[in-house]
Amino acid sequence: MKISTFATFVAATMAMVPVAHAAELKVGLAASTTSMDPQFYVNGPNSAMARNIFDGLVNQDDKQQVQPALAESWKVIDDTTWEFKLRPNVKFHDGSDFTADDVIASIKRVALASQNSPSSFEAYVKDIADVTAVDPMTVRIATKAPTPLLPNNLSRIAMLPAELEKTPSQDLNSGKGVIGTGPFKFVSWAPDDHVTLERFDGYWGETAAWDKVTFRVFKNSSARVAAILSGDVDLIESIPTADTRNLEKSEKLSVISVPGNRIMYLHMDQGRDVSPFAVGADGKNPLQKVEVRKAMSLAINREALVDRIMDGQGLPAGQLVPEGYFGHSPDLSVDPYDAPKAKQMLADAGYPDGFKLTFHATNDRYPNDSKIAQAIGQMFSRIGIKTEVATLPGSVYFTRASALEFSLIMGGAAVETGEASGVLGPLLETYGEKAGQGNRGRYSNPEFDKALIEARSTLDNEKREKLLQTAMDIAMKDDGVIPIFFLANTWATKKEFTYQGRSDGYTLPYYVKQAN
Amino acid sequence: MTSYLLSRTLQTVLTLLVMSVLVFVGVYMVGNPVDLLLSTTATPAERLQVIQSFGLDQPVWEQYWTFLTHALSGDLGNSFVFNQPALTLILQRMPATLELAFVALLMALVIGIPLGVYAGLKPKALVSKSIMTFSILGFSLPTFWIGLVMILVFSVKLGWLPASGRGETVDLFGVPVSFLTLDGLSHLALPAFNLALFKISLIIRLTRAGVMECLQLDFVRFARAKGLSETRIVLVHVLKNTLIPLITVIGLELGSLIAFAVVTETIFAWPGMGKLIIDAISVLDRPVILAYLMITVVMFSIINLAVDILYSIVDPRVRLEGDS
Repeated sequence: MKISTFATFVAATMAMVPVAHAAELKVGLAASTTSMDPQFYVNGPNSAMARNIFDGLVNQDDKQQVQPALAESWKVIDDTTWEFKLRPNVKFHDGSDFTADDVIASIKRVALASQNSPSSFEAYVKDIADVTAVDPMTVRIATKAPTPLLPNNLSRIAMLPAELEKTPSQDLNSGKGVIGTGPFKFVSWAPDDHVTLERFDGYWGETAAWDKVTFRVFKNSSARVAAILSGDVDLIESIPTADTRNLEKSEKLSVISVPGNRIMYLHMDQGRDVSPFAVGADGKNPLQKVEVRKAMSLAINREALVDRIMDGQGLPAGQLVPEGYFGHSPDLSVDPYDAPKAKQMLADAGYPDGFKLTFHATNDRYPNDSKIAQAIGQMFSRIGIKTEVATLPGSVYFTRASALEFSLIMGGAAVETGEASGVLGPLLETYGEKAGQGNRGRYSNPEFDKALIEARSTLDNEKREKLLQTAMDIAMKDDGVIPIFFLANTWATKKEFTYQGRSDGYTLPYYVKQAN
Repeated sequence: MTSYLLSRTLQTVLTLLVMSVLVFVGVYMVGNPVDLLLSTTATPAERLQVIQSFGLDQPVWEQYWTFLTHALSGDLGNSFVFNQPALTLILQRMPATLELAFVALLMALVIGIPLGVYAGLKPKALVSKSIMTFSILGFSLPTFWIGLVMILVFSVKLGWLPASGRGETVDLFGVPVSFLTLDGLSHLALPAFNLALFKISLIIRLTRAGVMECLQLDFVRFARAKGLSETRIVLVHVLKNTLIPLITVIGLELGSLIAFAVVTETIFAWPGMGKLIIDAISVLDRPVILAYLMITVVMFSIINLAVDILYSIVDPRVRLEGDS
């Protein structure tokens, strides 16, 4: 009797599961948004969440290329003037119309939202001199200098109603005034715990398939995997590499993996004759020689790294942006693994017995970062470089790396603007007051700088792409940095759903569909 | 009693002061949060602006002085990444952690004491030996591993209990609690048991040792000679004497349950305050780190005080004095 009661109870519970509301999507995120103000802090989780609620004048598509959004079209009037035609009949979540005034106010508000910001959006509007309304549906933007990246930059700036121009971040964090034009309306948020959204029926595009979306944050990757295995959530992002192959085998789940925009690379100290952790027999810094750097690149077995350590979640790289990105150079190929040749090159460069090297990397910043560093260290040892590997937590590592305390470091850079100058500039441009702030190897080549600087002010897209490709070719020929691989972005969904994935890794429920 | 309370308060304030200096200097030495927060594309001007707005351009003692003067008026600073008062951020999440900790403690007491008493009374019985083996497992298996196995068994394979998160909450005196709803209880079960497991083992062992020791003492023999029933001897006389060391340990453990439920909270995605500190440390969000640790210190002090007062209730020989 007892057993049968229990069995009935279990059966009843089981039967209840599929009845769960069909149009609710539960998502397991890897990191929490830190603010509901889309203009407060430039970081991945915040920008991804903002995309559900807000639109820009233009939006980035799944390969980060710029597409019309709240602006239907735009044209260049002269070198420093752009005109954007706004999309008619767009409504905000509060029912008001989207017009030119909202654009002006939103761009002005960036300065206010930047107060106390750990990394502000001001970089994306700093080239804008003035924004004016020609008529309610036309906006003119004057820039301080020719700015071909204006649309890319504007894709990062969320549009809010004009009344919010003077509303500080704190108010938005409390949920007041989280009003956009996006496919979902804001319902509630608890930092580091959950965000709840509901469908906006007045959306200018096709309305979303979900009545309600709940995001929950699972920092721990095992917990995230457990949540989808147990059915607590319908979709998770960032599968730990060790679990991808198991999840792929599951009958209830599908795994989505697309090449991401984050390049893992090595930075070598090239700016000084004596470097603290790279010491040749003569006491000099061997990393200054391009032959040595090339030898190191040839010593890395990228296929093995991706296959064994990343469990296939990556794509070997021969340059800094993936294919399909503006500025990708078709002439560059991935350096093949060739240890004998590498050894020979090292000998030719004057280091037949190698040199002493300590390789520094993070151990908590990128997927499997310390394992990758260990493996690369062994590959260097194989060609005779006496390599030690030291891994540190990011909180210690980045401060020391910026202070140039290391000789060889590993980093990861995401191409957030969707085109090559977004990585070439910070990583490789000659370090100075206004440039090369992430150039921790102090690579410097005047030819490279010239091509890049010219590209920055060239409005003609074709010419600009040529220039960026030239810059990329020069930097790769010099091995200014050694590209290793692009990280893959991964998701797991229940079989009933599909998601095509994005190179920026954003999890956007609007694009999650019911599978047929 | 008043002078006793006063001296305890002073001690707490002193501890807070010393702790805040240590944390302040420690975080200052580890690294610069700006290097972690700012994107690599930032210009020196932008960098300077961030450094100034966080006050990081001041010498460390000046930064500390600013912190101290603000702290005295109840402002522990804004979190760098959340741009919200650090204290609010933590206090919002405190009910969830407290609930988890108290339920875990309750489980530990309800399961631990009876098992411990039984094992103490009949140390040679097979059941007692099994209990002790269980307690060794509870001690030695790492919490995060047990948590994952529990999720795998009860949520993934059997599907009985949810794997993560906090269930439906209802307001009790304005505080959201989840133990009053069925959904809430089902969400609480796994994380609370996971958190309690270590404490259950601890209480079993302490109770068993206490009971075994008490049984040898003269008052037990006297009670037996007097002809009291065995039940009365165990439940009243033996148990009461066993409780004294138990209260000390439980007090301390409650503090650690609340302050360091981090592992369990992370695995079960429990929206408590423990998860916050881990993130704060990884980006050197100093206001949050400081506020969290200060709350922890205050909590430990209060719990210790409560323990001392409980002592005097359980054991009339204990007196609370100002100079203790």
